[in-house]
Amino acid sequence: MDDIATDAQKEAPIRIDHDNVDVADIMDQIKRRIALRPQAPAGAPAATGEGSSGAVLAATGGGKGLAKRVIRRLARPFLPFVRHQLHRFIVRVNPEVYMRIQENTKLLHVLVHNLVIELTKLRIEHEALKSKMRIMEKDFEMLGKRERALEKRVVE
Amino acid sequence: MKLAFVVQRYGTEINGGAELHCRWIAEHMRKYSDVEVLTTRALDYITWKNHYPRRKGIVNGVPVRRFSVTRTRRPERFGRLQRFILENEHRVEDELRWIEEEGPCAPSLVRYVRRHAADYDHFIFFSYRYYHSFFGVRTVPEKSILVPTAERDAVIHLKIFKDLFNMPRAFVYNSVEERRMIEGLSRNGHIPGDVVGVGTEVPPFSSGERFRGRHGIDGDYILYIGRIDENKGCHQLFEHFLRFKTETGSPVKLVLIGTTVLKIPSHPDLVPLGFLPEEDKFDALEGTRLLVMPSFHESLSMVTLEAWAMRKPVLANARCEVLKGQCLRSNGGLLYDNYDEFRECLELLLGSETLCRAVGGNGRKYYDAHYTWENIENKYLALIRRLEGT
Repeated sequence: MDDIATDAQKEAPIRIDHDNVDVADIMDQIKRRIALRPQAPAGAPAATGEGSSGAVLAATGGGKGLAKRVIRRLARPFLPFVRHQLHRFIVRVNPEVYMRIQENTKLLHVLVHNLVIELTKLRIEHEALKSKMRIMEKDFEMLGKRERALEKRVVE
Repeated sequence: MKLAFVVQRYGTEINGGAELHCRWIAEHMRKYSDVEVLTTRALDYITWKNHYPRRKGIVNGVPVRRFSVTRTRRPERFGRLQRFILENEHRVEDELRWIEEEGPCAPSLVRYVRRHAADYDHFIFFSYRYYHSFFGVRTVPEKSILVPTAERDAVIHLKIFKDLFNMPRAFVYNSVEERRMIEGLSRNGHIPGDVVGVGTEVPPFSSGERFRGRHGIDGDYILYIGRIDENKGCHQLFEHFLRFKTETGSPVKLVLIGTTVLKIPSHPDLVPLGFLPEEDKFDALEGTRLLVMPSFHESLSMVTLEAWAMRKPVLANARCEVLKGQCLRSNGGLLYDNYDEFRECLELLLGSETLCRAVGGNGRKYYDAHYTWENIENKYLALIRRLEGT
């Protein structure tokens, strides 16, 4: 007895022989169906009305991410132009805000510069301390040897 | 014929894993031979602290001889050592240190096995990765039958186990996958063995309605039984289930039975009930649409067999080789490898009562063919006869 298992989904139905269930076959069908899923919205004709691709994408799990990727890819050639226009628009509409943004950017540059300098200083200091420690370890070792030698003398 | 069952813990309080497996086998084999259990005094599997009295006792008609654990396990130290061994080049001595830390360290048990080897015909050791099996099998290799209950986890690759798997007189495996894994790792195909597993005690009557009434559960639910632990794949199960609920708006609930080690997300449709008695467990199985098994590592999964005994389908993690093999061989469960498959399978099973009945029925047929007590007992007897004949 063949049966269409999930009517709710518009994808290829999973066919199951209930008298002789074959799990391997069901899993193959599920895997095929999932593998086909990402191509469906891209290959689908421009949707109209209720069955729009937006609705389909909203209903399926990985659809949202795919839609975002497609939109991003389509918009990529126009992005520099859009950014330039946005920049010009801000300058024209609100020069004060534009000036403030520029000032903030300069401050950020200075801040990063100072941070780099401080980190470099710390690193140098760290290296110097490590060297000092090594010297002190050697001194300590030498003093230990001297102590043992003196002890020997005292015993003798 | 006298058989000694050697296991890390033993008692009616221990409700799962190799210990329950051993108890059931010992109780059933009592019909055919003298049986005695050699075990430790431990109850807690984390520290192996002595809990039971030292004297010889009887548990469900089976004589039990208990030996003291001389060193409790310190989980942090053990964890550090295990990490070191798994992540670094190391010597065999380190692995030996690991097995002593793993415990339960009971030298008196091993001494007893050595001194009384002549009193028993066979020693059946459960769980390869513990002290009692590691040293016990070495003490009486010619009389030992090892039930490894092995999962595909990292420690099975340790060098010391390669030798161990070549020592016993025979093996009793839980699944075809376990046998394949151990034979592949240690090239011990020449040692006799059989895939046996364990049966289960299904109560004559169970009622889903009684379970719903007792725990206030209405509507459809799916069931997880076992320790609620990250190692058992529960974290991933919660993620998948809650995402499934959000995306599909399904009213189904996930009922969880077992002790909790992991923090369970707070959601009205996640229903943790803690540890429940056997009767409740089977009532829950009777009322559920399906059993979900998210574990990545299993050597047999007794609850899967119980679900099949109750004619319930299983939705199992395909990354667990044993569960995958069992589901494909029995056609008694669907498998998921990722969320998309989880969603598809769950929708399929929740959407079709007929499919649930068919898949659950297949599970029952598989259970009847391989896991009834008569089958299990006969397989043990056949193996022992084979050893005695050679």
